[in-house]
Amino acid sequence: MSSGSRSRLRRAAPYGGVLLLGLIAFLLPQVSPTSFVLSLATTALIYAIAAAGLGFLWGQSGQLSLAHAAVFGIGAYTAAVCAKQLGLSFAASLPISAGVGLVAGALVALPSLRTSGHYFVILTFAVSEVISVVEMRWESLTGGVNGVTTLPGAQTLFGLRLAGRADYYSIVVIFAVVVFLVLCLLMRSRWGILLRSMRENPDLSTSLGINVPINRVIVFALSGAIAALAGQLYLYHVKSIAPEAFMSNLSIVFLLVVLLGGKSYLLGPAAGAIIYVFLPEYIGLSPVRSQIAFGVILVVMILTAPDGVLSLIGRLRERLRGPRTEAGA
Amino acid sequence: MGEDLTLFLQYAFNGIAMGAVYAMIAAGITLVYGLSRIIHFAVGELVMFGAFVALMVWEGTGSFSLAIATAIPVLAFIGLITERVVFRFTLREPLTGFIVSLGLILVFQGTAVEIWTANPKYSQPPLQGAWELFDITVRKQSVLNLAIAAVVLAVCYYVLRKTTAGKSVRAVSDDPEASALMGIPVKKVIMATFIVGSALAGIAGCIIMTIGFITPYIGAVYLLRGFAVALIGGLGNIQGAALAGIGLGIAESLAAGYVGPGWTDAYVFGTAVLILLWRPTGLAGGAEGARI
Amino acid sequence: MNPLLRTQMLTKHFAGIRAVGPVDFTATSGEIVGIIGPNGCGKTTFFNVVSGFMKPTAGQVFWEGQDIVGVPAHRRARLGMVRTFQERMVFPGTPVRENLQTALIQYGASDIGDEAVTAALDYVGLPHQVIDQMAGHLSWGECRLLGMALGLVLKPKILLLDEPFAGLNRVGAERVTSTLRRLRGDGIGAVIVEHEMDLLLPLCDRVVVLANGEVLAEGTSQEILQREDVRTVYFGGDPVARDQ
Ligand SMILES: Nc1ncnc2c1ncn2[C@@H]1O[C@H](COP(=O)(O)OP(=O)(O)O)[C@@H](O)[C@H]1O
Ligand SMILES: [Mg+2]
Repeated sequence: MSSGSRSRLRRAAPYGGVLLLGLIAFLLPQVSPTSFVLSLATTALIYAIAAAGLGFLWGQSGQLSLAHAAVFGIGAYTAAVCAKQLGLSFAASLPISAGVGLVAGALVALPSLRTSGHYFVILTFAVSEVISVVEMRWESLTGGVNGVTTLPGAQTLFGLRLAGRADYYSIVVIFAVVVFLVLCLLMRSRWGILLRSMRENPDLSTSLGINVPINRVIVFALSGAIAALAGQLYLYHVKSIAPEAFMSNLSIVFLLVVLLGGKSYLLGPAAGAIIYVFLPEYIGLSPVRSQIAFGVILVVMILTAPDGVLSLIGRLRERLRGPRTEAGA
Repeated sequence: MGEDLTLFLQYAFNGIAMGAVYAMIAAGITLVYGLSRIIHFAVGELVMFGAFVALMVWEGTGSFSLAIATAIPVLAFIGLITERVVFRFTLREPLTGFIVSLGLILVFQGTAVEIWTANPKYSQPPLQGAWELFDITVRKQSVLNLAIAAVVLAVCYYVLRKTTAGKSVRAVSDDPEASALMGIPVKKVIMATFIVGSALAGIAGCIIMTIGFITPYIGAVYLLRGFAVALIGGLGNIQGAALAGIGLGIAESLAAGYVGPGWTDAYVFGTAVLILLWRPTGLAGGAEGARI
Repeated sequence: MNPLLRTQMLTKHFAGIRAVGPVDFTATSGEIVGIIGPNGCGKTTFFNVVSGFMKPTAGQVFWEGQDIVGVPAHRRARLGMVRTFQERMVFPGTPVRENLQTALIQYGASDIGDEAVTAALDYVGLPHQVIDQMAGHLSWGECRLLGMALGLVLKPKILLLDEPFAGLNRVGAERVTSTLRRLRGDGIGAVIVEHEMDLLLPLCDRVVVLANGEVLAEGTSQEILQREDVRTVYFGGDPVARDQ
């Protein structure tokens, strides 16, 4: 094989990987899993999408947000309002919730124009608490503490029924594949290179002429749109939402999901979400105990394997290959 | 005295009583941050733990002093353990310490639910009754709480400013490397601030237990107020924290009284965000590189 | 001739204490100007203010005759004024390739493939095999060269170099020197701050001496070496003692 075609193959590999995994996920209903497993798988994919937005933000541009769950919640609530008060279909409300998430993400990022580092992360947390209060108190829109319920009825999308468990799962698979492909494209784009430079040394990026603050706001907006999209998918999955579902704990969970899989890997959030959703069911932990367990896992991961489980696979592979000669190192 | 003024003073007094608690939490945050550069986000859960421990002892023995005397060492011990087991290994990379503290939030919250269940708990305030001063109702418990907070903050201030131990703390905060060269046991000093910071949160918890319902999920509320106060007062600045704490308490109490309690949090946090955008290093000064 | 870069009474205070200024300074493309001064005399701060990373307390910065004090730092880079950093010189967590691709993208290069990247490596004399290494794993000297390459890829009119010789051994310093000698021929001007006189003076068309934030002396390298007051600041008035 010539080196040119090999490098072309290597460049295409991640897209192929996403499509292949998507295909496998798409075929899951064929092995007739229980509806419980399908429901878990749907949740895992939705978390994977939301966490992918955070993973892009954190892994590529180096920004951490504790408001990601709040923006996810905004997406869910926007979709609920679109459905209940405006009578819009799933498809029609999708661009609206993603658009609202885009704006919300940008607003969360605005403080980064003035501050950075610690102050900024704390501010994202404050913003997320403000959003929680609004969800709780703006009762005419959100139903207050009781939340809202949305039933999809007889709607279809891509010829699949929103109300059917397997069909809805397949719809979520399609969205997940699209989101991961888009993120893959962006990671490998020129913009991706600029974002990573900002992550590594924002002052140097500035000195090379990169408008760091604007790019931060843009990447936040993108991650917000993805979170809100996942939020709408979540609403139509669980049907009924209340503010406490989107409190800061969920932001910590998204962060854990990203970290579990590995924040610099495209598919890290997917791996993390599958572990996060399936592991407690598999070992039969109560929700409270699994919260404790995941807290411990988060602490242990960040201290011992900050690059996530996917990096462990990489390390293992190197171990198996034996010592390699590294040029110049 | 006019009706309006009485009401205002009443709100202001309630606010000061609450604000003193925020100041105490903020003092702990500021100490820990000043020396380790770690944003310890589990501080709200430490407050919650303190509140539950105090509640258990108070309901079991009927002694509020004993409740405080138990909560302080328990929380100090938690501070010690968390420092020795995890935070110690994150000092080089403060962001790692921050993420560790997020993990601890999940652990502490879950543990509290396991021990005390998620149901809200309420106890009668240990000190019943109130005085009427110029038509203001001054609850005896509030006065006691205020006195506790004032004494604790004064002691912190005194120790930091006037004692050799306090000088070491300030030296480490200014320049850890130079302090190490001067023979100050930097690691021990940092460990001590985790112990003291956690104990401060525990005392705050004891006070909060006397004020209203507690659940394993109240942490976020105090976390955010603690940080708002610490940041507005200027990270690393204890007097700033005291002033900002009382300011926040009063603002909150006035907002709740005049506008209604529902949206208080939104106003308060919204205002905090705006203040921090306007003056990123806080109103009272203090820098990202904190000085104590 | 109108200077490309000019500062007028440029001053920077930190918490009321003066770190720089007032400094009147000029530089033009195709010219290498050295700014020397002991550690802590305000050299980096002067760069920060000139390049827009900090707001001056007072005074102006002119670029091609225009006052640019309000122009943000990233725009100044696009105008043709690029600065390097004394310590954090590269993007440590990405490969050298991506480091240089960042600069190539900013230059507007249509091709950011390996040929373009190796051309940039060649310019500063870095070996091609570093291309796949993490920039953070390079030696200090290689980081310096890569940092210069990042700035040079943008083909600036003036490159501001912050202590390009600091922490380098003789071989590293020679590589930096030979890169700097190429600049004049390529029409790139440079302003170099250093506290190390020996390496800097032979390179410069003109030297400015800073002491306590102020301009103490200005002239050709020869003139500067003759100045008694410069010696006092630098060598404690005893040039012999230093050579030992
Ligand atoms: N961000 C800052 N805040 C406060 N003081 C500063 C800051 N940057 C530099 N200084 C002070 O300004 C003076 C000049 O520093 P600097 O410009 O770094 O000197 P040089 O680069 O010549 O070694 C020093 O006294 C330094 O302590
Ligand atoms: Mg310097």
